[in-house]
Amino acid sequence: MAELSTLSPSPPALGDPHVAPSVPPSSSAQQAINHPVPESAMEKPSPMSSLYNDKALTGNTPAAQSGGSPLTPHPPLSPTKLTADTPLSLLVHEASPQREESPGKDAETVPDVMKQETSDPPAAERLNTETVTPAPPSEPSSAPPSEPSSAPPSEPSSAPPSEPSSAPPREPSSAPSEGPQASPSPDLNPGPNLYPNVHVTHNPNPVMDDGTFTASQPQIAAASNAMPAAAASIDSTAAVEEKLQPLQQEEIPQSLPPPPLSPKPATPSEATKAELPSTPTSAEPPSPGVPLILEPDFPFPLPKPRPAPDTLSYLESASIMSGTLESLSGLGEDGSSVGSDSEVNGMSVRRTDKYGFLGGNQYSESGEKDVRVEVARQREVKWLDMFYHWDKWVKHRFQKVKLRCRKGIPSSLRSKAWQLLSNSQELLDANPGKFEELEREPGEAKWLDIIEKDLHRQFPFHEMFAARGGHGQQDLYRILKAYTIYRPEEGYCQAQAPVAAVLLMHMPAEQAFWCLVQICEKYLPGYYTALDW
Amino acid sequence: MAKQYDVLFRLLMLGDSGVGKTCMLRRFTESEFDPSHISTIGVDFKMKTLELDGIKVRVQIWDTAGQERYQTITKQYYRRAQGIIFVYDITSESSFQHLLKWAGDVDEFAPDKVQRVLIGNKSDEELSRQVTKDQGSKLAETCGMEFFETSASTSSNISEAFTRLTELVLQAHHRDVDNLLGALDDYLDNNALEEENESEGTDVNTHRTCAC
Repeated sequence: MAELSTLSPSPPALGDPHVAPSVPPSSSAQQAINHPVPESAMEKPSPMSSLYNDKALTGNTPAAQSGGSPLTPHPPLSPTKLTADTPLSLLVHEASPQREESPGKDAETVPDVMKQETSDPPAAERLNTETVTPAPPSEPSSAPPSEPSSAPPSEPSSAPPSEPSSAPPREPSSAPSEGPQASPSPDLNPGPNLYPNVHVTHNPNPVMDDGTFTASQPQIAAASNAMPAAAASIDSTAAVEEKLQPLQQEEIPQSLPPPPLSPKPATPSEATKAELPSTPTSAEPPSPGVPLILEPDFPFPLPKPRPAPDTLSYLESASIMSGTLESLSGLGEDGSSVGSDSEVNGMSVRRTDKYGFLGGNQYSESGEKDVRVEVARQREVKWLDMFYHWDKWVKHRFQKVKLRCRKGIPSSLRSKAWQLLSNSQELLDANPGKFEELEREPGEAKWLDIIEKDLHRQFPFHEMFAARGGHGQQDLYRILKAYTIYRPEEGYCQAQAPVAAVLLMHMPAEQAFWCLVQICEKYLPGYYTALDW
Repeated sequence: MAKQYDVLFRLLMLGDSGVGKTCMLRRFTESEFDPSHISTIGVDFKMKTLELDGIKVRVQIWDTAGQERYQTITKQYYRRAQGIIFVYDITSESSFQHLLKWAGDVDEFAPDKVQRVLIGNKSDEELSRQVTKDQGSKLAETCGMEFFETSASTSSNISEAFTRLTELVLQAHHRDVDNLLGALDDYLDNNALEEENESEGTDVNTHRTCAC
């Protein structure tokens, strides 16, 4: 007993229903309760970002899926925003209060929390055998305090009514592929027509723009639903996700039994099941792209029968819509374009690495050292804490921030971190609507010509940029063009394109644009500018 | 250590962005065509060793960024080039017209002795052709260059063009090459030299060629 308690002190505390209101949980619960409404409102964005992240990051990393979802979208200035959408958020709450009390203890407290969440099963087992029974209930019991206030209320309230109509369609769309499609541009890109689902995701678009979230809860439900599926399809060890599944599924069935359940077992199930087991484990050609392509998981709203949706790789789906941008880029007709796509498609390795690369020089073997889940989680928690108190951290503990950057920003939080680090967030907030405004400008032909020539030459082996006229290339065009309008005297420099492309791998176009601005003007002033010697 | 080549020449590829410089180079040096490569930023180079008239010629081919913005950088490379490859895209009228500017820069910055060829790339895309072969060869004639239409995609004429330019450079530098080979012979005959000196000797020899 003694050993156990020292090993995993917090689980009992959390787990014990009666004692439950121990310091960490209680504080989190309080927060949650205090702002139940804002929470639900705030949460809405998270699914969006998670969607985006999934696409952008290919959601391969467990962290990206679970952690990224709630966080990236909006600055977690108030802890309440993050609330119980995922275990991670729970962690956050628990961790942050503690931190406030004693920042120094981060490292100590965090791991404990981690144990509950990540290494839970083993811990629970031990506890069980040791008659510390509260452990098993720990999850449920601890969850209720915080969640009831946030998640449950939000979901049941809005979800049931809208579910049947909006949620199901959104699910397919919520998958990685469409997110990108949706985000590119309602205006620039007629593409969505290919995916009726995508129309749904256009709702998210407005969501991303600001704090105004029209299409709300269903997304959460959809996202949460999608998560398990994603987890299944994605190889990752993801103890994290496994955690997610039970939690969320529990909630969902309660509030909306029919919708969430039906989609999965329904029509697609056959196909998906057939595909899923095989894909994650091996990189076999037949369905290589599948793990990344979550959209097919819920194909039932499909208008036309496509060839077994699951066999459609992200690439293929993207290339299908490649026609849409033709007029814009003028790239499509030449034979080479066909060549490039077919070339990529023909590659034996169509499965992407965790960064979304299908091959080429940037492709990294999966054997790469993966950070252990606990470590990854721990880092995420630390970063979240920094996000909450970003100004203080930057002002007073900058060296620590730097150190943590060098250890590696968790991929799930990278988008947010980059925006904070570059201060582009501030620009974004200070210039609402500016990006759209820039987009409306026609732009100078001399820049647009060169930009168009470069669109298909940025990370051609990355799933996001592989397809001509795909969403990645569209977004790239948008932000590069916007910059030439933003800084007409500088125009476009070819070396901006790869930077912009990497930004796009992590965040939506508008955010990426402001990040690019900061890079060009703050990090590398004059670097991209023409020099007359 | 036996040298893997006798002489080293530097060739420079110039032309607008997207005309296919990098693709041509890859085709020539690696016999590969990869339509999905990245835009060249700044300058890159690849090497290949050819054997011409029994002389092992290593060509170091510098691939430059086409965007005008990089010309301040790429101009730095003109001076040390012995051969220049002007590339335009037969499906792009503007890339052809810009050749005049490229050629003007070369006249200004490159050594007088520099050898030049003109290449119209993407000859496989006959349907989108905007510049006739006649136009190309006329321009080449006007500038005193040899002219090729190539296709990196099908590999048509690629090797011929590069090899021809190398021959031209070799001819232009014939005297130097002879000197070099003579020096090499002397060197090989001289058994008394220490190894350290050997390497120094070869270095010197190479420098002599390069500095021509």
